[in-house]
Amino acid sequence: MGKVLGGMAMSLDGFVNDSNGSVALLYANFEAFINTDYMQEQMKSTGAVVMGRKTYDMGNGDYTGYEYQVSIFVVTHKPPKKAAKGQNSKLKFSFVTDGLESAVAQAKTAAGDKDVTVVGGASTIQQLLKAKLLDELHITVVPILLNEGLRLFDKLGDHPPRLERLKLIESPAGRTDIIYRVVK
Amino acid sequence: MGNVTIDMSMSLDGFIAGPNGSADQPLGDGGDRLHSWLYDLASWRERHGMEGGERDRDAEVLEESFKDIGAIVMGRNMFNHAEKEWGDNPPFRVPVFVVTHEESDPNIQRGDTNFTFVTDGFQKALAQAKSAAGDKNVSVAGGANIIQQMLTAGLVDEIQVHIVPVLLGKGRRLFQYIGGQPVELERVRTVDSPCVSHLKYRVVKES
Repeated sequence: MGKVLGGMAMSLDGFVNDSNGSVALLYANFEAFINTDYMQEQMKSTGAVVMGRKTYDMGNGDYTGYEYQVSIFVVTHKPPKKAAKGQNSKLKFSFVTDGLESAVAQAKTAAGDKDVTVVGGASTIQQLLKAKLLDELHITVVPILLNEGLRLFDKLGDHPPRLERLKLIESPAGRTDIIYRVVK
Repeated sequence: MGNVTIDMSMSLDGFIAGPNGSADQPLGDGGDRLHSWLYDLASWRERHGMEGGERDRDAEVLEESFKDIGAIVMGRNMFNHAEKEWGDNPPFRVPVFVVTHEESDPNIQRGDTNFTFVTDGFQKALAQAKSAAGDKNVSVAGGANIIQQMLTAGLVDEIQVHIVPVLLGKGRRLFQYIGGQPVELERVRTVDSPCVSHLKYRVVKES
């Protein structure tokens, strides 16, 4: 059984986007980011993806050459009318309307022995942590203070899960990746 | 001239203390978890008048911070909350400048540490601390409010956070919504152990 991995890039002061909702400053060097050994390894070990709807919409319906060529389960209240471009025998979208937990369960089945990677926003990560659905939390600390915006760690409730630090990686562009195990 | 530094233990979710901080519980509910990495370190124990302890990389990081500090600025709340815990010989042993609006003695000596109470603002306290520190660093020790003020005013040169693998969920955050332009940082180094990840940054100043 694979693991469920999720995480995000955040500024040192804990924000995942700026006051205009833009993530440009956090992903200024996206090429370098996905070419790190850690990301390359993670892409190989990923057997299915769970994706938030806002994240899905950021692709503007075109997933040609998307970095995860696997089954992708999008959590949404209302599936889009048009099928995304770029789907093939490996990359297929399914739209899950009965919640995040169901999407994770379906993705686990699809992934088999491989891992499930969650690609979503702060609210998705918060829900996963609260529902104890995450096995590993991957935080990329970006060397910037945004001073305002959307916080990654918020609304975690009275009993946030315990963490164990697994490893720290000094990535390019001053980014620091820290991987935690979520203790269940 | 030394740097103005911030050096804080922080939970992964950004808190430097739990809720309900007081003189009996300076770090608030659950906040001890943020400092527990310190208590067994030789460099921490030595500062607190105890012998022995671990001499690992975490201890070196702490020792390095201690030895570069020539003076400290802190807020009155922090002083009030932690005074009792520091006891007769507070662990600083460098001049400490406490920013306060309250009337108080201008100066008290406790063991090897001298506290000066500055009533005309944090900039004045910082200026006095810089002159006392000489070539060494001025550490802004907290609480969160005075750190925010220093950051907002662009007075901080270096930020070290010791990220503890804990989600506290609530308490006092190190970084608030202070607004204004984003501040670019440059990573100086990282040191890592299972208990804590030490991330040190230089603040990139606009020239």
